Amino acid sequence: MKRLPYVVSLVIATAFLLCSAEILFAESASQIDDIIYTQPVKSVTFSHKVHVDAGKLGCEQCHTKLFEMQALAVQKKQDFNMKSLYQGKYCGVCHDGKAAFASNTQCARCHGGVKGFEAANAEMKDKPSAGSVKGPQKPVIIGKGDSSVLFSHDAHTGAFKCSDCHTKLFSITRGQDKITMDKIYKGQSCGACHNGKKAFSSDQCGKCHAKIPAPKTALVYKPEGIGVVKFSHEFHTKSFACADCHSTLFVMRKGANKMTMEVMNAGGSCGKCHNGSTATPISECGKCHVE
Amino acid sequence: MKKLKLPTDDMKQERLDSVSTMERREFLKIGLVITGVFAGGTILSAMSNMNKVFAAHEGKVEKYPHKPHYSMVIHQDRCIDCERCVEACAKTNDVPAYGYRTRILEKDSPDAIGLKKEFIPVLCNQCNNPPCVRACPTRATYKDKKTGIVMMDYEKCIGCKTCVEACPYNARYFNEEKRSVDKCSFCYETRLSKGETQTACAAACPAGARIFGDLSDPKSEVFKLVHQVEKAVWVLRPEVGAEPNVFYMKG
Repeated sequence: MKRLPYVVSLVIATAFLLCSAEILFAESASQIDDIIYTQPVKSVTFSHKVHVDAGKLGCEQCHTKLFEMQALAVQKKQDFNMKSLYQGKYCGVCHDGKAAFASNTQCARCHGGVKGFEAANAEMKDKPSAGSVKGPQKPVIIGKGDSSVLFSHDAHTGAFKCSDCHTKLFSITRGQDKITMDKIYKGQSCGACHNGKKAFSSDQCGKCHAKIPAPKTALVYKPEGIGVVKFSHEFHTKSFACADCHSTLFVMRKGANKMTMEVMNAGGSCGKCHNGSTATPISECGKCHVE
Repeated sequence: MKKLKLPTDDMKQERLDSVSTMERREFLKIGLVITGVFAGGTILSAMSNMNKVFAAHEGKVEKYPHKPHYSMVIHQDRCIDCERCVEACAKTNDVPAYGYRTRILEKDSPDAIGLKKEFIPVLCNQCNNPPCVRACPTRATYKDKKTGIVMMDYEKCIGCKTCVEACPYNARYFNEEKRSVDKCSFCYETRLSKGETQTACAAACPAGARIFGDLSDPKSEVFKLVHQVEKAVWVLRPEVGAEPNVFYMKG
């Protein structure tokens, strides 16, 4: 009973912190300009501000089952009309009188008409050109633990539109995509741009990965006609740092490195250290090639 | 004492006995004539004000003097300012860009809950008591006896634009090409006289905001809408007394 006030205040403080954390990280779509439809009638204004900020809708509630990410893509559809809305399609999913006002009431609330279109155009001319629409401010953490990557939307939204990545490369819902280095090397996911041509190559591990732990399992090489080689990172990282081998000697990609005895004899690959002075020479075949 | 001779002694004394009967009669006759003139004038002016004092009709008149009695009902809540009606009208009736036969007005109610904006289509109301017809000096504009449409005779119009001033709905404009005032005629020349039943604007509206029809036909949509009491039906500027034939409603 003595400690009760402390416990109570602790509970309240925790609850407050949890709530405020949500608010701090809440996604703000108010940076997105109003979308003005001109088909089939001129014009209907859709405001993300009203729906996301005031209405507190999450992105995935509309995208992409109801609406594509590409603005105005839906007005190309032949059935994008009031009839469809009354049948519960498109906006009619919510605007049915229950979740939001019925779509056959308050027409002028969405329909701005020719006058609304002209007013909006005049407004657009005064606004600075929509170069960067900010994405979610909350950092996207891909992966878990030491190998996780912190993805920053801000670094990308300066040069790209939402539709450049969403949803052909990445889903809108966090945690839904399985992003592996394999996929990236194949040109999927981040690899669509991070291939050395559009953006820095995905071989530059440190650019995204803050900390890359060495693989715990040994790498197994099966050369023809001779014993299997098991390479242990654990053993080597006791005395060496990642940068000692990566990426000048070995690219961090399976099968990307030419590992032949010729190369090693010439001082490349393993031969850089396994030359007799730094480490056991490669002439001692049995040290690596195990039955 | 000697009586003083005063100048007034020679003046004729005006007394009852110094005015003859004939003079009195003449005086009375003159008085009656003047009174008669005044009385006649008063009666004449009273007669011309009879219409104002005893209003022609109060409440609904169930007689429709025209056959068909063309009329329009506008569902104000359905208008979305797509302006397809304006475009259709301009195309059908050769309305120039600087002029208009119909317009969409915008009304903002920033303090309203929910819906804050309304669009109101306006056009010539084909009034039953048209101020423009009264104002026209050449009778270039007249109310057609058969259809009730206020017509324009472009040949007679002298472009004085008194009718433009007189119209309480700003429905008229001066057409430079025709060199005459022009206005909505319910598409009479272009559609109704050719057998069409709908005006261009009513046909073009995608929201069904304009209902056009014959008010004297009990089966018509306009008759049913005007004669129900559940939803309010009103006209614009009733205080002018023009008795318009275009009705507005919501719902």
